Order: sequence, then structure tokens, then C-alpha cells
Amino acid sequence: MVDTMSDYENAIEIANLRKCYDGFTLDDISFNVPKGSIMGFIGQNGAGKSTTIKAILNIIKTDGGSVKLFGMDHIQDEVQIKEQIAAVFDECPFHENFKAKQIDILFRGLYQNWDRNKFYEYLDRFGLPQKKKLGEFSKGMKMKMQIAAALSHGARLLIMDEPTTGLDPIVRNEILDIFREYLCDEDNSILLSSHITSDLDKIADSVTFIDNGKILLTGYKDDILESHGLMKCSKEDYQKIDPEDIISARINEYSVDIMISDRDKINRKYSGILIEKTNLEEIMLFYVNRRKKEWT
Amino acid sequence: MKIVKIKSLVYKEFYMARKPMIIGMFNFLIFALMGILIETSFQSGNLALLSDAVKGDIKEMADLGIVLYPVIMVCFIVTFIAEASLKDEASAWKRFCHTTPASPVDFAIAKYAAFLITILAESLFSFLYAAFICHIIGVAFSALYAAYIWAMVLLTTLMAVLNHLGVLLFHTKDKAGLFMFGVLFGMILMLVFINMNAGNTEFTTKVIDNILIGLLPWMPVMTAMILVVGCVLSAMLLKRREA
Repeated sequence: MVDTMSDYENAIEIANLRKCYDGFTLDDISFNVPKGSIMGFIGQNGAGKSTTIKAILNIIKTDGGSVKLFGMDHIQDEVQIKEQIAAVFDECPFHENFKAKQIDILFRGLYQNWDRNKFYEYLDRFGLPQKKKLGEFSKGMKMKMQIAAALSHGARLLIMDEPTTGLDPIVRNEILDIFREYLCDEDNSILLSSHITSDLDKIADSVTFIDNGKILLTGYKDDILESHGLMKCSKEDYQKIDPEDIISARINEYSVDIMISDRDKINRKYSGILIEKTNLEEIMLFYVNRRKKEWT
Repeated sequence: MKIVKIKSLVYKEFYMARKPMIIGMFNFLIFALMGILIETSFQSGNLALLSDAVKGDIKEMADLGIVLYPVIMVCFIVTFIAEASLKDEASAWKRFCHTTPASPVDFAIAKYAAFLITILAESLFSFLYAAFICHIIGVAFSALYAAYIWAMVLLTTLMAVLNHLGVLLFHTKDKAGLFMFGVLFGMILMLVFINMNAGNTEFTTKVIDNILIGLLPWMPVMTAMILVVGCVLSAMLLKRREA
């Protein structure tokens, strides 16, 4: 039993989470977000990322499993938890007529630890106009406004559902820098869902990969990148590879690219075959096609 | 802390509805001005040229209109608070609500506190305006006028609450509107049926006036009950999570 909100190891603990819809099931989702880290939650569109995040935030009813935030149950201790978290979505939830002042007044009432000065400092830093309505903001500006509000009430956990989708690379980089700064405090954690794996390559400490409602991979990003590799061989050599060793294979005109999940084992088993380093995007691509086994 | 949360949410409700409210008051001014022009015409304009017999009937109806039409514009202002719920649906506000420390009950209380503040303000304004105009045009501010004003407050409160509940249930303006008008017409038909069953087959203005005067002491209570029931139902609907 956790007595205080500082005495916890994982910011988020999800165990056997289950949610059934017609035609889609979030099936036995389990992963943890360690305190002080940023977890990238990746998957293609419709994989279940947003559903999982909604379950964490108690926006939807679940059909099984448990969710703990800061070691506390996400339903029983909902109010206490929500003082300490901030959620940022791809769509700005504030009304088009709102200006910075209205957001300040609203959040001042909603959050005990709202820091007005910090909020306006972030607005200055992000170059956001204080007297302009949100309806006149660009998409990037709206996202920065959300983030400014999220960072100004002492939240120790940011939960972000595709915050960089639709933003240009410059704005995305700015936002990633803000996250790095946020994580300088070891008590702060981030769960960042995205299908833009290049962002997660840059910033994530750990990664969870979801596909079709199931967790395929979860762990430290460096460990995953270290253990996985892209084996390149000829079509003749491909025939000699044990199918059990393959995640999936991309058949090119003259060669085959094979994703493997245990580089050391493959190196020992097959000599003379080139294994290259890979990235999250390729891992995601090959895992998504794992049922097909061979694809072009 | 709860009071502070609700205060900030009430502020949000009024901020969202401020422009339609200003338009509502502008409409009131238009109708008030028209009333002044009609009264002026009766005193020294074209309507003064009518024969006494004709003028008498028209004046009685005109006096009712001069007092009540501007009041109707004011009474509708409460429905603009409900309209703001549509903007909530359009802007993913509801999803955001679930991420804050404020509970669904807090959001419901804030909405209905905004309704209540608006109803109190518009009722007070309407009665003061009606009493003032009656004094100006030389007509007694009777129980009938009070009954009509409270009936408007009651009706527009019911419309606002039904519209809000409709938005929470059906999430779109069209369906919420259909729900509101469906319930209202259903209630009117039920009242007509009850009256006819009681042997009252005539629905002249005299009959309606007597019914309204009879109900006058109960109208504030009925208005309060509508708000309480609406608040409870809203809290239950807002508590719903996606299935």
C-alpha cells in the first residue's frame, strides 16, 4: 500500500487491461512507465493507442484489468491523481473563443497548484499571443497552448495522445525539447503515444509497441534496438533461414530483408549474413506484417 | 476548493454565452423601442385617430404586447447557456473534462448554477421592466402580467434544460432540438387532454389567463424543480463513460 504520492516506482502500471468493442479488442495490455522516464507508445492507426490512453484516464469503461497511476488505483483515487497529471490530445479541447486569460482563469479554479506566472512565462517562451483567440491559432500554436497549460500546474505525469501529428518538423523539435526539459525533474514522467517513430527515436527511454489491440513489444528503447536487427541476404540464403527466427521478411527484387529479434542468437546460428542496425519505424513495419511473414 | 472549481466553470459558461446574451439584450431593446413607438402612436400618432371602440380592443392587446414581447426576449437568454453545450461537444471539451480533478457532478452543478443565476437576473429584470412600462403606459401591473412573465421564465427554463439534456444524450443540435420540442409538445398535448377530460373543452384566452393566474404561486417552485431534476440528470449523463 502506497502512503504518499512520492513513494512509487512506476508512474503508470497497467496489468491485463481489456476492452472489447465490435470488431476490436484491447487484449491483455500490460506495461509500466517507470518514474522519471518517457515511454513511447507506438502503433499504427487503429492499433489501440488512444483506447489504452482513454482507459488510463478513465474516459472509457474497461472490461478487465487494472490501472495504477503513482501506485494508486485510477478510479478510487481519481481526483487526487488528476491533480498530478496533464493530458494533451491531438485536438485542442478549449473553445475557439478562449484566449490565454480564460484558460488561466479556468485552470486556476480546476487545479490547486496552478502557477499563473509559469503559464504566462511559457506563453512568452513559445511566442504565443495572449490577446488572440484560440480560433485564430495555427495547429502548432494550439498544441503549444495545451502544453503550456499542462506544464503549469505541477503535473508529474504527462499523458500525450499523438501531440505532434500534423506539425511541421521545426515545431515538433521544439516540443520535444520542452519534454526533455520537463524530464530534468526525476519525479516527472511522460507517456507519449505516436505513430511518428522518428520523434520517439530521439526522445523515448522506453517503448511499447501495440498492434491490433495486443502488446507486441515493451522495454527499454536501446535494448529493443540492440536486440533487433535487419538481416539482409539473397533469396537463396533466405530459404535456409528457420522461419522461427524471422519476425517477417520483405522480399525485394534481388534480395530479402529479414527482421530478427535476437541478434546474438542469429549471429551465432548463421554465419556470413549481414545484420544491420534498425530503427523503431522498421521494427514497427516488420512486426505489423508478421502474420503475412513474407511481404513486398 | 470545490467552490473555486465551480466558480471557474460558471465563469466558463457565461464566457461562452456572452455574445448570444448581448444579442438577446439587443433584441429586448428593439422590442422595447417598438413598444414605445406603438404607445406614442396611440397617444399622438395614427393609432390615435381610431374610434374609441376599436382603439379600446386594440389597446388592450397592444398593452400586453408592449409589456411582454421585450420580456420574452429577455427570458430566452437562459437558453443560450444550454446552447454553449453544443460548443462543448464540438471541441472535445467533454474528453478534457475527464482529465481534470473536477468531477461530473462539479460540471453539472456549474452549468445549473449558471442557469439559476441567469434565471434570477432575467426574472428580476423582467418584473422591474414590466412594472416600469406599465406605469409609463398607465396600465395596472396585474397578477395576469406577473403570471405571463413567470410562465415565460418557466417555459424557457424547461426549454434550456431539455436542450442541455438533449445535447448530452444525442450529441447533435438537430437531435437535441427534436428531443426538446418533442417533450414540450408532448407535455402540452397531455395538459390539453387532462383539461378536456376534466370537462374544459374551451381554450379561450380567458381560460388560459385563469389557469396561469391559478398556477402563479407554484411557478417559481416548478422552475426550481426543473433545475434540480435537470442538474441530477445531467450529472448522471456526464458520469457515463463510453461503453
